[in-house]
Amino acid sequence: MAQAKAAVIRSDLDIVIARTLARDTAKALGFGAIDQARIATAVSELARNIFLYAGSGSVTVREIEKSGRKGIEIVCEDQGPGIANLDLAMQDGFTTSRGMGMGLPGAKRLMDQFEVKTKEGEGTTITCSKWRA
Amino acid sequence: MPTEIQQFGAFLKEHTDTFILDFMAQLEQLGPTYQREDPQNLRSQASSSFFALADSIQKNDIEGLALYCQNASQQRVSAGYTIEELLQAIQVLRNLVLGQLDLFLQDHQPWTPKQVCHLEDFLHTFNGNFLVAFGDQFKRMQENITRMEEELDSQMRTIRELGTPILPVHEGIIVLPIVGMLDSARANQVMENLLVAITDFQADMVIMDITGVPVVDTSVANYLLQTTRAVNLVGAHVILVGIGSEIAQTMVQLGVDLSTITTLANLQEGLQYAFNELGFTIS
Repeated sequence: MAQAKAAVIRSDLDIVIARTLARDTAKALGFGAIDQARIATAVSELARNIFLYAGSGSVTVREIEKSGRKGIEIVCEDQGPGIANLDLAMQDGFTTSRGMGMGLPGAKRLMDQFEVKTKEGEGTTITCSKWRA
Repeated sequence: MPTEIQQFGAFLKEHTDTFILDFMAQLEQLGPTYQREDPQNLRSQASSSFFALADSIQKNDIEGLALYCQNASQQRVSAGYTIEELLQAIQVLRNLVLGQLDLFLQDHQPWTPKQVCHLEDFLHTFNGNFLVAFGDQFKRMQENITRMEEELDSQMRTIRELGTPILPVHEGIIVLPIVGMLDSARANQVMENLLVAITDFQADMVIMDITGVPVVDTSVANYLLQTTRAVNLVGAHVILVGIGSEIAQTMVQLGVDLSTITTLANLQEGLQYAFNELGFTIS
């Protein structure tokens, strides 16, 4: 299995580092320009959520492979307050900050697979992946 | 007439070969840095430490030993040994020396506690000096980190200042090229500067060019919408240009709605549009 690379999120700037890491990995894997943009944008949303709601966390990027097909897997983890109502959070327009409320559902639309594990008071782990055409 | 302790120093020297053999055998069992070390180097380090100790005991010269330890510890720290590894090695040295003391005392009068303590003083010199060396290194690293943080801060300030030039290109038209990422601090600063510039230049049109923005996520989209609203409030209009096909696709999938902002392909089209709106022609 390929090794994972992680970026710690503690500030605004770390969001850029995380999404650059994701984009570079996607590029190296042979993803096209548009998919690279999708992956970078999804990571940007998720990393920003970590920073906004949890204050700190990590983004881990990994190369994956299944039946000869290559892909990228991104795990966004934090020890923050957790998502109280996941169904609500996944709806467009719902926000608990002053944002647009598109981050979570938007990121899901940009990726192929998207899974949220969260518990109020215990933190959140979002695992998403995209397969190369 | 050499004291008992000094005689022990001589005894140690006489048994150098067996001591070094035992010392090496145990050192090789210690941490990864010891195992990675070239055996030749390891032997030479072990020998010089042992000799320095035995010699200083024989000459009753604890200052000389302290000096040796200061130098050796600096070298070991630079070589990348961890503090655990070094303290373990010193413990090995101590145990072997005390083993030798047992042998020595088979043919000599037993030692008083005072004599044993005096021997321990020599052994303790290693611990003390090595710990100080690590303390110094730690302090140097902290100073480096502080210096780097200050440099980073200063660079960030420079980047912010370089950030976003506001270009009055014609009567009533301002161009704002946005390059790089917009963190919230920078975004606020840009919006403030922009609103002031609109008033100063009496601008009616603001062409925001985001060709240089690599990722438009919801926070950037939000910023563009808020800026447009603010610009409208001071009586001007925003024309957004520079959205590439990748960003366009991403924005649609994200679900951001920028339909309240006039968007055109590039700066050229933006300028053409602005001129038309204001009734100018390019002749």
